[in-house]
Amino acid sequence: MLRKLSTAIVLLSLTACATPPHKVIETACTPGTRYSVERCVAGIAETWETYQIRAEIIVADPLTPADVKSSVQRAEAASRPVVVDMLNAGAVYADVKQQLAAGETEAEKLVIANQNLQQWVAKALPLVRHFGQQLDL
Amino acid sequence: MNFQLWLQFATSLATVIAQESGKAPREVAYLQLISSAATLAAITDEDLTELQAKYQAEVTADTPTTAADLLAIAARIEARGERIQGA
Repeated sequence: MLRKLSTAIVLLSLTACATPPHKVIETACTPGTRYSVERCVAGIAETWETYQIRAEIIVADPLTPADVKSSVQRAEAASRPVVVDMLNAGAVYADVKQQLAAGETEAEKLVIANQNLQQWVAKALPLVRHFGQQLDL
Repeated sequence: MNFQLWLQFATSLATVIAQESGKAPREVAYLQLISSAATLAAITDEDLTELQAKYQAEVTADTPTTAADLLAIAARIEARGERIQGA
């Protein structure tokens, strides 16, 4: 019965989700002349945050089974530090970019900040996907 | 009648039957759980649609994202995370 219920909830969540999260990230990270890595980072983080808001409701719901609640808490705790570190790296990048525009630093620092940020983005993206999948179970 | 309305109707009906019979059958709890999941999925869908529209507007207007914007998101995430872990 519980397995059927879980399947029903998953199907329900999928059919109700007209705009998958990757569409938001695609929009925020649109390549082109107006592309901004800072905006892309914000889009990834806010997509994850949407899931986090959902997680908060799930864990606060007295109807949520204990194993589902702990599973959601684990997934949240596992991915949050990476998303926060990505945002911090994004803030460093934005600051260095501003300093460079003001002639207060060298272009090499921006390249380093960008490389660091790209590493955090690469770590965060699969976690965003995984966290969303956890919430649909 | 769409699925969401059907669920609300089925949940209400099951709850009334449970109250009348003086019992709370397991099916009522399952229906309430499914109904909660459907409502939650709809809320998440709306949030994501709004988010996509927001970023589309930012791309169109070429609105800059500042360090302060990113740190504000981080602060929100950290605060909510603590609430989730403490629930």
